[in-house]
Formats: sequence, C-alpha cells, structure tokens
Amino acid sequence: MCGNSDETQSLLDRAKNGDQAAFEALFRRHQVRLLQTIALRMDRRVAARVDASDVLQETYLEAFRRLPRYLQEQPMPLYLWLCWLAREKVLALHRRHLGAEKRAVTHEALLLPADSSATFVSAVIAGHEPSPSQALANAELAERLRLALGQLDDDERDLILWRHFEQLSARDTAQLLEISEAAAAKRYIRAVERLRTILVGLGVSGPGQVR
Amino acid sequence: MTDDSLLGQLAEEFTRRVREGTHPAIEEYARNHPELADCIRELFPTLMFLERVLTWDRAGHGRI
Repeated sequence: MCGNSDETQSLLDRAKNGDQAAFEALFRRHQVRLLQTIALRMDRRVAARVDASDVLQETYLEAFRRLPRYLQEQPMPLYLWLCWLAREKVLALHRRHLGAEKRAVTHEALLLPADSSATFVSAVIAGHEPSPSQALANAELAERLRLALGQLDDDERDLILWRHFEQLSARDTAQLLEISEAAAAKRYIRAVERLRTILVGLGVSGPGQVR
Repeated sequence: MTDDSLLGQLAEEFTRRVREGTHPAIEEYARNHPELADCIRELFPTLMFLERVLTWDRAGHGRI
C-alpha cells in the first residue's frame, strides 16, 4: 500500500467511482513534472518526430485506462506510478521509431542539458555571468554531460535522472524498478560509476572541470 | 550492511545536503568512513556535478 495524501486519496476515491474530473485534477498536479520526465528521456531523433506533449497525453489516457487496477492494488504513490507509465511510453516510442537502431542512437544526445546555452552553464558552474571564454568552456561541459547520459543504458539513465532530476528517494526508485532497496542502491552506485567513467573519458575530470 | 548499501545511504544524505545548500565537504565523508574513502572521493564529485546541472534545469532554466 502506498503513501498518497488524504486529499489525493479522496480524489482517487472519486475517480474510482467514475469521476473523470477528479482524475484530471490529480493528473494536472503532476503534468508539468511528467512532461519534463518525458522530454528528458526522449531521443532527439524521436523528439524531432513526436512532441513530448503527445506522449504526455498518451500517458494520461493509459493511466485512466489502468486506473481501476491501480486503485485496487495501489502498489506505489500516484506520482511514482505516473512516472513509471510515462517511462514505459517513452521506451515503447523508442522501440517503435528506432527499433534495431536503438543501441546506436543512445549515443545521440538526449534533450538535456542544453548544449549551447551560456546562461545554463554559467548557473551550473559559478552562479554568475560568464565571460565569453568561460561560456565556451561551460557549454563544452554541458555538452559532455549530455553525451554521457546518452551513453548510459536505459535503467542506468533512469536511475540517475530519477534520483537527481526528479529527486526521488532510493526507496522510490526501488519501487519503480520492482527490486529491493539494496539492489537499487547497488545499481545506482554502478550507474554513477559508469557515468563518471564516461565523463572522464569525455574530458570532464570533476564537477565544473574540463581538461 | 554491505559497502554498496552504506555508500548508497551516504550518497543520498550527501545529495540532500547539497540540495539544502549546506555545502557538505567530500573530505568530511571520506574521513568519517575510511573504508569507503576512495569510493567517496571518486563518486561524490559526480553527484555534486549532477545536482548542480539537473536541479538547475529542473527549475525551468533549461531548454527542455
């Protein structure tokens, strides 16, 4: 059983009785974060063909369709469940559009982080406006993180993004992957190690440092 | 507790403190857990890096 708030549970109870407006109200609460979650995971080639908002809409329809079963079992909090559904939608989209190309295109960049925004990298590195030369170096750094994330396996990338972008707990990620917390911790540590190795290979020797 | 479990817990705590803006020192963690010091020194800078980049983007400054 999961940790939905009383208010959420009340809306879920209404949705259970066929009140679609109640479900829409619940979904709206999470849609901005879900849209980011989807956009983060979309391969650029796929994103050029399919809008993240369309995937969000598919996630909504799928969630509404599966709602009775979710309400019966409630294996995890609603937001986690929606994250899980959104991830499934993106993975299915990649399979459909990229098929056998999938492995090769993981090297294609994800949409995050921005690869040429001086504002972006200045905030990341120093919290002040960079000089043109700093901006160039910082843009390089952001580009390398983007490439590194793109080289991780789906599960590794999801773990990193869940923990550091969606800011989910170790327990949450274990639920999403349907594994024990100990196993999730192990995978997370391995994912960070892999990411670090890739970053070093790309010339990033530490936070904010470019060789 | 296995090394990975402890390292996972420490990583979660470290990440939380970075988010809270308390500027945790990596060396403090390495000193307090000498058996994991090498791993901490190797991995925690990556966690800090990720937090800075992804938290910033999460706040809506990126181009998602």
